[in-house]
Amino acid sequence: MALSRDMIVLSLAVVLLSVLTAAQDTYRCCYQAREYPSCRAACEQMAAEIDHDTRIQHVMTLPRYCRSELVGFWQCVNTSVLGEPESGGEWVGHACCDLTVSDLCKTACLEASTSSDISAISCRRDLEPALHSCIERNERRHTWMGERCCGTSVSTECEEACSTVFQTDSTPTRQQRQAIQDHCMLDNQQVIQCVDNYTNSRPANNPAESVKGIGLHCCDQSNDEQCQDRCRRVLVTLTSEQEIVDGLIEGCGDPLPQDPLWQCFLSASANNGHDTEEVIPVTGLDGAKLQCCSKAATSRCRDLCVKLYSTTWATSSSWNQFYADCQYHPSEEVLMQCIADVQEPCQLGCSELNYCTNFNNRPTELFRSCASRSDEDAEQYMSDWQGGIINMPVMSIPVRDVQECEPDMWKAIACTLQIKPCHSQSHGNRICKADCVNILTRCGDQARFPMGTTVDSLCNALSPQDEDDHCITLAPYLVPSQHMSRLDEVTNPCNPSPCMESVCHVNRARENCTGSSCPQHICKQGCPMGEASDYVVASGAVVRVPVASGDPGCYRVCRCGGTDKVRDCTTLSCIPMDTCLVGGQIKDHGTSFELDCNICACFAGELTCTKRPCLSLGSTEEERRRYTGLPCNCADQFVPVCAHNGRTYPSACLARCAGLLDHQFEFGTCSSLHPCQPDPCPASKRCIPRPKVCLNGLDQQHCQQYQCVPRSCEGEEDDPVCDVDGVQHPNYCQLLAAGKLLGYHAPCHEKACKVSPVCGHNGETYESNCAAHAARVSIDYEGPCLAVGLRPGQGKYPECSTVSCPDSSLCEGIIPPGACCPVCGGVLAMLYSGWYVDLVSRQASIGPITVTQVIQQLRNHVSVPQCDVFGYLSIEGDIIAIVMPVTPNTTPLQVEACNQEAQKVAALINAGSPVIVSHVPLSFLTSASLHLAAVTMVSTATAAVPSLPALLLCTATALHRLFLHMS
Amino acid sequence: MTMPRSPRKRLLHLLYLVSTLAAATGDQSLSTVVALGANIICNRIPGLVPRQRAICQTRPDLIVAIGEGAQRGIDECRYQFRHSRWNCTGMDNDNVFGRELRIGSKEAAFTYAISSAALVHAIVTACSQGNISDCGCDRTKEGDLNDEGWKWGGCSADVKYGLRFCKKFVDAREVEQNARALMNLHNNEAGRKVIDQHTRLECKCHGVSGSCTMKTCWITLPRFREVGNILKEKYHHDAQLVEAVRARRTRRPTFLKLKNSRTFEKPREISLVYLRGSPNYCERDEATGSLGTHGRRCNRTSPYQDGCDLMCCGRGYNTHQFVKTWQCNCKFHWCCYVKCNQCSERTEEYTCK
Repeated sequence: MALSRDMIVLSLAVVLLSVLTAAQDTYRCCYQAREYPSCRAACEQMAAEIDHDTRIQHVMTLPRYCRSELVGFWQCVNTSVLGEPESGGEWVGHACCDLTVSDLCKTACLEASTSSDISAISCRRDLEPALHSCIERNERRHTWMGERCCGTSVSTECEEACSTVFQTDSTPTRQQRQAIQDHCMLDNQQVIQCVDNYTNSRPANNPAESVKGIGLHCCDQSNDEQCQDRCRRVLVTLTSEQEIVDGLIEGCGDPLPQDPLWQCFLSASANNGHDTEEVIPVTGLDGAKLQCCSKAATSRCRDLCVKLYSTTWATSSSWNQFYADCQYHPSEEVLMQCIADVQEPCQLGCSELNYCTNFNNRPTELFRSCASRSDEDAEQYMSDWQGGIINMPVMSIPVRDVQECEPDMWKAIACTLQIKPCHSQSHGNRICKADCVNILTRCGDQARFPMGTTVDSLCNALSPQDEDDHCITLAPYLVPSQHMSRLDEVTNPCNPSPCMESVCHVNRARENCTGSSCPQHICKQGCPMGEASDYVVASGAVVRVPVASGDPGCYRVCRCGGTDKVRDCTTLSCIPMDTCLVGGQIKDHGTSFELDCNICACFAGELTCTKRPCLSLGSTEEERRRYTGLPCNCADQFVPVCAHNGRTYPSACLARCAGLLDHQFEFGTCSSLHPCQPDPCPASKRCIPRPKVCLNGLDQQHCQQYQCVPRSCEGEEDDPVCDVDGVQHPNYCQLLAAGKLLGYHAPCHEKACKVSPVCGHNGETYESNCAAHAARVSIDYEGPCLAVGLRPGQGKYPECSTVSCPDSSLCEGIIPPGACCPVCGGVLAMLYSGWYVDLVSRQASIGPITVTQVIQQLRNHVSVPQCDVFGYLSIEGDIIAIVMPVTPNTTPLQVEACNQEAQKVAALINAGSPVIVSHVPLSFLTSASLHLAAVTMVSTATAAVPSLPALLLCTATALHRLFLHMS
Repeated sequence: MTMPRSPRKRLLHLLYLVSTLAAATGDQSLSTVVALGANIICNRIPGLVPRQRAICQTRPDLIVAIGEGAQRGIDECRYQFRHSRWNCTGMDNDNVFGRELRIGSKEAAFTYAISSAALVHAIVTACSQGNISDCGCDRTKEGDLNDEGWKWGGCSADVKYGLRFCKKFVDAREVEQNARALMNLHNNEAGRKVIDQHTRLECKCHGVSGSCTMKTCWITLPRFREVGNILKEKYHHDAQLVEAVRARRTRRPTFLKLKNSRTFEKPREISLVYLRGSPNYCERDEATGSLGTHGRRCNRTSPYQDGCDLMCCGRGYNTHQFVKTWQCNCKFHWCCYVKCNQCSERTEEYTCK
């Protein structure tokens, strides 16, 4: 009968639904194993089984796929499938283990049986605030409430029901409360009352209970105490939306959108659908300059800064206050320089100025504002000053006629104030005191000086106090530049930026194109870091922005998708800006210093140092004997091992010295080990090797050297690769599908690639120099890698002597750590914070951070196309970046330019400028130390042929003296 | 009775859909209570017409801003009329914008105008702060230096968005087509126009050494107290008495004209309009919506409307003597408490009979 058939269909539907709802719990368990794809697949198969017995059978096979360390997963499986009571073990803290951030801590939590078992190392208090507060709350409540409530119970069933409620810290479930009602109804009203109180007063701390969580904190918004109580009761006891709303209206009155209680509920539902972690992506009005606020010296300026750049950009009165109190205060120099670095960063090169011609053709000097507008303003300044008074925001200086008294120097001063040359190390812009005193003594109208001011006092306010450095001298700008004829050796295509509203990047893919159709720069679409921000990050970038409240150390990680604001933000835990105690001295967070011969940096209370062995005058004979110059005094042998983070260490000793355990590395170089043999991918997918060196993830799971992609290569991005026959393929997947062997990961160059093995500076052997460059590694010497180099001057290097280095007569090169041959350029050694890398990549779900990403980001900061950046992770634990010229015929000027670029980047890293730390791969760098190659060859053209008038003067003076002498 | 084929197929399809949905949700539990739905709350907000409710349900973030705007309007109205017999307290929490005034008086005109203006103000402020998902800063205010030597920057208030949305929301209320509706619509627009015409250009100088050779400018909203003052001025000096006119022999009135003019002169767009004179608000009267002034505080010495003569309408006033106490001479002691003295004085308070 048709009727019964329909009934069957309906009932089947109901059954299926109920089974599915039941299966949801099991699926939730599978989510716990999400990082282990084989385990997850097996679990999902098991959960899909409807029949209970087959499901149990599947569970028995699970241990084959799933490791026993996944305690949470196993507990969940036990509970949902086998129906064991969800008692979190003996200890109340177990229920809190879901709140942990790092897996290490989670394992420790689940295995612990008392709170002291959670060591401070695996679960840092400041990184796991939710966990620790939950544990504390649990323990307090457990002891207090548990005894209080359950102690009054008379019957054992009631006591049992009561103790299950207090065993975990989650809200008592319906069943638990029902059980208490049932068992304790007769004689233990007190127990029921007590449990009710506990239920109502418990704040939501389990993020899975987001409904109740949001609701309960909205209840606090109401002004009326009674309304708050009723609200909480309603939320906890009722479950359907309609009932809840009715109950709230009854208790708190009609929903008016003015009422803060209802506003809270409405905004919660406006955020509906987002993860509780995500917030509306408001980066403040200017997320880049907001990061500078923590560098303010006074709290007043810091508060003004945060107010201005987060929400109240628009009120001009705040600006006036900010200018008056902070802009021209010498104590706020760090803050102001930080803001200036975002607004007008120091860039190499200046040219094409009409008025300040002495500033032209200076390709190796840094300027903030070399533009025609500054030029015109300088001219304007000079004409203003002819009125006899110089108006500065903090003072006015009467002067004699500027056209008569030292006009050249006044012109240089006007141009300096507008074009703002930067000091190469500190990027400061103020004129040196000596120059200030000089010009004011000669040309200041001292008769008209205000009462009590002297030249000295004026210059104290205008120039930096330190005599030794970090100020701009005027002498070089009194004469034109020496580099008149070298305009095309070093170019600056992005300064001034030809791109409006988008980011200017140097076009480094120019090997393939020729001639005039090959622009030196590319304009990339990007997202501004805030509504009112000028700082634009390129599309696709992952950036770190401060939270809108401006709390120091608290950030969000966001992505730039297209041309609007950055979006998809997740909030990170706040970094505690703790100081470090080093040898009895306190070092601030974010500073770096030398300790013996190592460089150390303090970051959030932890010290990271390089691992060089040091000899000092006080070293003993024994220490001198064992000293080899390599970290941990390892022997100078080359027996390479490949570590799980993708780096090849020259010997097992060095790998252990870097902190790796024996099971975390294997013998052989990483390039000789094929990650796709044996094939780890399922049959439907193809294994593509993706070699990388990760900054975190000593665990192999987190630094996979391969990727499984669909066999059809769909969805693979355009990433041209070249095979050994010189044929280019759109991506690696297609190359493998065509059955070819990989040459290197870059478009096929026509001429420049010699296919012969070379040794990169990182100790890996590459098949060709193009392969090495494509991996962003510079070349040490030709031929396979043979040796690990020592630092020069710190011991003998017998093995490097067998290596023949390329010619480097252009400069006195630097030998990067671990390499044999010197390089002409700037070498930056950057320390980074390992645990912070872990934290960010985990909380923001962005995958492992690789050294290549860091180097790619640094490339964007080198604006000279003739220089390029290469780098690797060194054996001493820091990241080495080499800025060197890449033109075929390198000139000394280019080496000098690359040196200056390296110095510029080092200064920005050391200052923690938002320009650097906003980019996630660079935000872990804590310090940078610099070594520059010394240019030996003085360019012959610049050995100035004395100009004709000078020559005449010389001879005239000589003749004059001769006459005098003779007469 | 057999079910026809198509409903059965539909049932099957539903079944498949539900089961795939359930399977697809995978890791999340099949829970429908994700948050208190805006739908349910919106249906219970008093005083909204269906079109407004629809807006509420689709844009709950805007409703929060609307609520703030409504409150701001009420507060400003109470502030402006705090010294008058009618002190805007008729507008209590009966609906979002306060209780409606029954008659089309000047006071009603003011309340509609100020509510409308407050809504625009609140929405534009919320946009600038990023609280609303599809508006932000005014994107048309961007670009290079113009002739006067400054350029747009920062976050200009997106006033157009606020005006548009306010019109959509507030004007939706006037579903009837009578004279009062026309009056309300006109006053809403007058309120919005005040905001539109009083936006300000603010600039920040950032030339060298803070000089104004280089400026960045942006548009800001006027302060809302300013708007309140302007509307109060209009209430006193720029309100026009009008009547509704039917055009073309239809039954419904279609436009307003000035009452005392023989030609069909229309009221000015920026003026407030009202349909009839106001009562004196001395006595309580349900028909006109007057609450009376019994029990209102008055000022014995003031010659204005808040003086006891005018406020109490000649009924006389009660004097209430009491001792006012407050904390004074507070000192901070190390460490760490504050100790204050109690000061007291005899004062008198006057309330109308």
